[in-house]
Amino acid sequence: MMLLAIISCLLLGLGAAYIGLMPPEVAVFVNEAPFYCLCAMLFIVGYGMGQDKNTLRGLFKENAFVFLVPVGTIIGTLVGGLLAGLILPLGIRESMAVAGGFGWYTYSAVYLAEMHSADLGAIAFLSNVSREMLAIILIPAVVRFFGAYPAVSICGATSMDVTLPLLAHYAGSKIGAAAFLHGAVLSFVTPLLLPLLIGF
Amino acid sequence: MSSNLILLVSLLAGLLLGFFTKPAANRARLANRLLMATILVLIFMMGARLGLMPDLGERILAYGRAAIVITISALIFSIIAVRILVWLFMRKRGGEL
Repeated sequence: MMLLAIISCLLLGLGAAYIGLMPPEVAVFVNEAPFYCLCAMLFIVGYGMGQDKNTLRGLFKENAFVFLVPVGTIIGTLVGGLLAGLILPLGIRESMAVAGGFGWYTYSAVYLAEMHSADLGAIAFLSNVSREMLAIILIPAVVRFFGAYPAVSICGATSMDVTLPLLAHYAGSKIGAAAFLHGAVLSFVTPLLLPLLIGF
Repeated sequence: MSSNLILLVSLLAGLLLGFFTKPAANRARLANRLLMATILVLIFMMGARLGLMPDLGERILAYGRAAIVITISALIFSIIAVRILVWLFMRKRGGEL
């Protein structure tokens, strides 16, 4: 539902600007405002993480391996981005930065559009939306053939919200805490990692 | 550099505020709504920025091709990396929770 609203908003903005319905004053605003919106977004995401202290505390008593799953996701995703960068004309750092959104398309796309180029922002949007959609489709098969943790891994940062119910359904409710931690770690790492990948 | 620092400070400020205030359902709901509104505004502006670019049609095809190659590669290597970690650290427990 949220994804539908997001895609509609994207197409609405794109269509309005493409057919010339966007007044010049608004077009200037479009180039200035996203940064402040990104700050607000990170503030609210941080607030939500801080409020969830009971879930986070509970995890420390659980199996310590859950802390390694996000590490595996980060390494695997970046290696995947690097190899894709070798065959794409995009550039290795750019390709790794797109992969380094870990499915958090709202943040990575706008950040890369803001700090690099609108082209890279668009690629990040498509790539990270498709990571979320492919994860939703692939969760049952990945749980069955590779196990619960790789299924959490393909979800990237979305394992703490959008894909969490699906993971709990197919891999059992015990995976819930690990999936939440995985998503929270990746949401925290993304804003740190992207500047390192594309340079300051 | 300074803009990245501002973004990081925003995240940390939210984290600290959330951590040191008592959980409240109404505030969480409000935060959720604000987050959704911020996301929709951001995405609309991103769309508008793309719409203002020349030769959009050709670009979209190239974007899609690059995006899907990166996504599939990232997914495959995520599975491989986590499978290796499960194999290394969880063999004795049967590889599952």
